Amino acid sequence: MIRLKGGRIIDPANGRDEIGDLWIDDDRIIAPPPDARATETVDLDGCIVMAGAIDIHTHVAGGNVNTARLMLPQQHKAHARRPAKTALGQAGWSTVETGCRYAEMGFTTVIEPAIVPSHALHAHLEFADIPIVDKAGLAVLGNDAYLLQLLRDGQGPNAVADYVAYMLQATKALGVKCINAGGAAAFKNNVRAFSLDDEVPGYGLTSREIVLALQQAVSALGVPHPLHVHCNNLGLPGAVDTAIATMDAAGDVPMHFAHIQFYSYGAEGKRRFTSAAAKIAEAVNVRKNVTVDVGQVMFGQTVTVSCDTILQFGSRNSARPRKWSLWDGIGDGGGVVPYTYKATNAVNALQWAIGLELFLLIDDPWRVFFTTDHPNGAPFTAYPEIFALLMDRTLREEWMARLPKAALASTTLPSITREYSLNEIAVMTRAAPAKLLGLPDRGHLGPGALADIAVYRPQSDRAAMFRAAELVFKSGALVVRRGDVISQIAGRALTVEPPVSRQTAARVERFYDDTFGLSARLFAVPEHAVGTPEPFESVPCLST
Amino acid sequence: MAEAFVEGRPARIDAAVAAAAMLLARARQPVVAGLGADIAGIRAGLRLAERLGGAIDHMAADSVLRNLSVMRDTGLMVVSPGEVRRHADLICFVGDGTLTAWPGMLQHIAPAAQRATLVALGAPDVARACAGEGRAVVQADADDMPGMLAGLRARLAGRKVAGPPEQTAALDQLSVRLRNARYGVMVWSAESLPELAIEMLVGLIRDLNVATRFTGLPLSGPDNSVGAAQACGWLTGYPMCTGFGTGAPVHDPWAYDAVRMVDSGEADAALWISAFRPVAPPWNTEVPLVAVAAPGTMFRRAPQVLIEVAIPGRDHDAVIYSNETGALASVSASAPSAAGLPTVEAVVSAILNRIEAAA
Repeated sequence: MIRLKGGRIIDPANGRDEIGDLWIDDDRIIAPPPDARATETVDLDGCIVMAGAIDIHTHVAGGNVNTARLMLPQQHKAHARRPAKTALGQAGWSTVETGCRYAEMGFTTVIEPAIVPSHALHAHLEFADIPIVDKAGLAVLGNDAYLLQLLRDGQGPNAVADYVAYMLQATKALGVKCINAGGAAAFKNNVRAFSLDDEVPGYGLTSREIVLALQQAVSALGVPHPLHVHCNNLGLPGAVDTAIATMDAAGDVPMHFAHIQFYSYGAEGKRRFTSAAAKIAEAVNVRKNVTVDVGQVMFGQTVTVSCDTILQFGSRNSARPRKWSLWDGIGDGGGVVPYTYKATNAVNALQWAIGLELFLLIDDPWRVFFTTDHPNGAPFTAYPEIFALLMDRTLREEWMARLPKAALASTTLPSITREYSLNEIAVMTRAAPAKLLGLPDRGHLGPGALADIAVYRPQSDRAAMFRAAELVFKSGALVVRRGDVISQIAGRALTVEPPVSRQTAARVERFYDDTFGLSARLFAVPEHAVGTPEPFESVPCLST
Repeated sequence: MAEAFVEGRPARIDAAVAAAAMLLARARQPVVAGLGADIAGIRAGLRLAERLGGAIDHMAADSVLRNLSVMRDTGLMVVSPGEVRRHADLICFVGDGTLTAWPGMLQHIAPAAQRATLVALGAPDVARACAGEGRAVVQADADDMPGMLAGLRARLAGRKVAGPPEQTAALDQLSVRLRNARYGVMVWSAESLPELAIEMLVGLIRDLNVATRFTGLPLSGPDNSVGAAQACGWLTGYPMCTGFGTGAPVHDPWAYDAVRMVDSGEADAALWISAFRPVAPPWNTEVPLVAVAAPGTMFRRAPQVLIEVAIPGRDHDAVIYSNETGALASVSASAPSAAGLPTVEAVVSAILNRIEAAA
């Protein structure tokens, strides 16, 4: 039994922000025992204690991420954490570095939002090699021939839900994502732009119909995490209209909108590229069923990794360095395009400002999530700088003073005075993600919670505080001390397992055999193949 | 019954593991080579190479790195094999050897019922196979493959090329065929194409995508070489031919080429892994050797330590790169053997544990 004594416990899920003790027994947090006898007492006088952080959208594993690693050897010369004075660290590129860098910042659970089903086993093998943190994947559906055929043939919502259940089981995923639904299928037919009401050639189906069918299936199956949507037209001026039209289509049913910064663009002004962050924030504020993550941009070299093949093909000429890869997969595929965000570039400076506007204009920290869409907006190692920017208006002013004035003209950022409190940071990165993903024993510090705990030592440089946690416990084990990993324990992959009918399994397998000459079983992720003991942890579905 | 040998004499497996650990731990510059193993075995090989501060290489590194080198220089457009079968209306086999790299390829991506136009560009093996099945195939010779591909790119861009008019006419005919495809796929094996030809070919694919859809299906050498590149990629950030001597992974295809390291005398010990087939190390110089190999491997000289291992995917379930899916796949044992030779992972992990216990 470990007693964490006298820290400031910030636990918004339990309405707690006070100096107090926390008790750990094995892998759980327990109520202070009446006859308190700790085997170990850690004095946390002056420290801040939060639950382990949860990243809901970070591309850390899978075939596309590995393509980025192999295509860009120059990106990972330095795995080491950068000195505090360097604004941006490079992404830790190997699986091992990924787990260690996350843990050092106090993160204990990370969600890879783009598991392409044909490469699910690959993703899980990488998960198994990411130490310390727990992982989960979202299965990418929406361009897969079987689903499109079900919808074209009007097989009805039950058939779609059965198929989604089959894919969740097969890929060992925690939820479902759709990425420019229908776009990758259309791109195979040489379509170069694809919006919400465009039809997938050969199917007579619009993107809207695919998104709504998946939303309905996820909800019907009781998968806790709502459909995770990467909308059409990412990055294009005027994408704000697509995003809001998709929110309207969602009705009252929960839907999560990924990296909304990349859609918060108007098409006005001399450059025909303006901030529409205020419009998006207003749309989110009034729609209580909608959640978003930001996809904050930070300046520096990075690489964009996305299953949106139309988008990535369209971005090819902006590749820096000048090389790019694109994969047409079975169903979804992916594209890898390196990119440099420059503070001197008006578009990039505006993207940076738009992300912060969204964080600061969306009122409810329970519905706006902290991401850079790693590595698309910036490597996850940039998070500490972003926390500091959210918490410090003066720091934002210092950054803005270095940016092209014209770039900021269409934003409201200079006028925003809001500063995030530590409590709001804890909501956005702990309590709210656990709620959004359906993980009742994470994201809080109440009795019964998993003992995933991050302890920070306050300092005037908030980025430094978040970069190197004083202590981190994962499932009750001390894994980080003074910012350094001291123990690389294995994490698990979280899954949901809605029941699948044998009939559905047989149908899907026959389809794969007939259409692709493949056994669908080749995509399966059997437990023994992963190579670590007990690689999975099942999360219950909601009763429906 | 496990088969193990120390200095050519039968030994108990734990004695062989102990001898292997001592031999490798003593070395100043050991290399883990061959690496013909499933993902579990490759992971174990990487952990051992890192622990030893040695290097890691794969016997088919040349071909994998040729495709990867082009990817690092320019990027690649690729497709999953199943999607070729479903969607392609033109499949162009570039260079000889695609059927060697993947013997079941034609049945898989272009079964007779699939209506794609087949083109054999400097690919006599595919032309012969098609003729044998009575299938139509467009044939084009390519004695100078980079020149041929450069000519096609030039004509597609509307530029002049040097050479006799009939040659230009042939180029034009083929380039029109490519341009008119709705979804074309270039298939090649990096074992038989030089790097410059691959670079020109992927450039041609990019050019064709300005107006239509085209993509590539690159093939590489055997013995799970693609799986090894992938696993090395996620575990170290780099493919094979990576050294750990500085404490951090350093990738250098010349410096960490196992054959060069042994033949130059740089490597003073080697662990050779070949579980899929009985393949002996290709170097010419004697080096203290631990071999973790399929039964029946013929060595020039008996290795100091030899431990025979089971065949992944035949004797035991394994994760191996699959040409059919274009991804890592879980393969069930086709002929599970109760006799139970150990797996590569079991042997290499035992060696590593022994080294760590002694440290």
